[in-house]
Amino acid sequence: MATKFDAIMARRGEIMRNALGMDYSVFERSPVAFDYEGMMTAHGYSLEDIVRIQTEAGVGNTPLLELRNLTDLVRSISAPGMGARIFVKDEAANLAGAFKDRRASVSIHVAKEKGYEGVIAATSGNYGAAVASQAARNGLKCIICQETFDSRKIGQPEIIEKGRICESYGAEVVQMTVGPELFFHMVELLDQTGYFAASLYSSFGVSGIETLGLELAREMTALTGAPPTHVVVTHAGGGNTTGTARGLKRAGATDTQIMSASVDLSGLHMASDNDFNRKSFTTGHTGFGVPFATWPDRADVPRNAARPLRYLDRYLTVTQGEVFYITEAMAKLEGLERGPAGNTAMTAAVSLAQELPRAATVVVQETEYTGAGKHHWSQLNFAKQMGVGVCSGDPANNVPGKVIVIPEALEQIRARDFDVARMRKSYVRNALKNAPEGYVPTADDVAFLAADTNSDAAAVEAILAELKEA
Amino acid sequence: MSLDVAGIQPNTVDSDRWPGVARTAGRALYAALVIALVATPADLRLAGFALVAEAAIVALMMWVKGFALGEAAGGEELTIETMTGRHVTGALSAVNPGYYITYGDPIPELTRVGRDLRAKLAAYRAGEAGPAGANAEGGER
Repeated sequence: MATKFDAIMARRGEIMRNALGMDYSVFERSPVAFDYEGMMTAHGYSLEDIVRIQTEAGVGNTPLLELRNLTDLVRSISAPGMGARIFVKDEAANLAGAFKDRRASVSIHVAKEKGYEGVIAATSGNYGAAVASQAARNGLKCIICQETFDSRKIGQPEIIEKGRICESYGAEVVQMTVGPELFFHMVELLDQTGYFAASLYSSFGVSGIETLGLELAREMTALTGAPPTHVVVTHAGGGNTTGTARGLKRAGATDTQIMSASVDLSGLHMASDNDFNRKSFTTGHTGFGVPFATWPDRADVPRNAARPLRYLDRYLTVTQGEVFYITEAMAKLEGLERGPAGNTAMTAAVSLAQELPRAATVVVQETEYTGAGKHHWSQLNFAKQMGVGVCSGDPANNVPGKVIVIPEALEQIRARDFDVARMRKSYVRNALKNAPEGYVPTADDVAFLAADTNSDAAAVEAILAELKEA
Repeated sequence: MSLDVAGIQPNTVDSDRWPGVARTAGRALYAALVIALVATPADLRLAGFALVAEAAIVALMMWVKGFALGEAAGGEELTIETMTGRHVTGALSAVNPGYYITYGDPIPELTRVGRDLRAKLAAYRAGEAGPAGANAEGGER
């Protein structure tokens, strides 16, 4: 058995190269630096090409809605003259119910064009549904690998629902218990089948999100006369932040502030069998957000196209209870019954809008479908079954995995700033850790690290000096 | 691996509970298999994965669904053909596996949220509109 495992892992580079249809080594400049823009544009599609691919795929051009009731409620608790207008991009209107359709549509288009017979993705989230839906439309076979169960075979209901929808679109779903063998088995399947690796983190997928930024800039300009002053993005692996911000920039919205938002799951371990069913959120949380932002290249591609530290201006965290409260409020106030993922950013937006003048515009750039398993009631009932407490009170007392505290009033919702400077430092440390021991960064490396952390050479040099001392 | 958590979705029933699994009565029946994953914790550590201590001691299992290519009873070896046409062999864990995820009971901590916020909104708008009740449609923009 060990031989089979070793044999696959030894050939991992070659297998992934064949499955991605792209050689990443041509972009490498040093053990630290690589040509990010070169990698992002190597597919040769212009933004207009991607818009065309997505229009044919039934993806994009989702409704942009102004949330007048929520805005007035925020104003009712804001200082005089404060309370930004809040908008939402209803991405649940995409074919398979989430912005992930934008990613999948480009990946599946590429797989089809390159002549692959099928596609494989490792995902327990909406991306699986998106890949399966697009594969169905293109007549490609599809395998989705999911981390579904804890060791007692208790399934997280949201992930079970995602498995169901993938099967409904004709995909083969491989369900596993918690652990790193998900990645190993995906590589084994890629080798066995010769299918395309529809990675969440490829340049195809992340380029597909740029159209969302483009639509936001255009539609907000048509509606309010200017691009949004702030866009709030639910942040997990960082692709959503990266793609949206790139699209906004390409549309000329260079002044728009990019706010990443995640559910705070500090204290819970993502690879833990015990914690797996006590998270109550399967995505959009700090358990993905922080490690992927501070080391993007931990992904299933040699170089991750999602590099959120390049783009985010602030990283806000909210509690589980706050997000469930806002999810309930969105249905009751705005007629939008949607899943918790997009409502993570919505929760941060409710807090952020109170800090901003009435002339400011805050756009929450996604919603996702909901239903049995995904619904916030499903998650809270499941949490109770798993021994997690649910009560009303001050969300400051929320403890992930132990007690979910639902706010008693809107005033109690307060997003917290995660220290972005600390994330930048952590990223630089990880970049050095992944280079050969004793490697001394060149001037080109410093310039790359500055761009990759949205800082400058002096700031990177200071971090490097500090790390050297330690 | 016995499951004693009451009220959990029935589709999460322990795969070891074979008596509940019907015998596949021939070909083309949709079935689920359970397979022990090929990698042991020791393999994973050798390959450089940092395992959380508790993840290393639990069973690493995989479930795959497809059309039965023979006959088996629960727990017996069976080969299936998956939706993509792969042939996979493992222990039969379910026949015609379904989905039983639900919404569950209303959450008491949430049921009042809509009522309270609508009342708060109405009060705010009444105040913004002033005593004459003008501009009742919305507040200042």
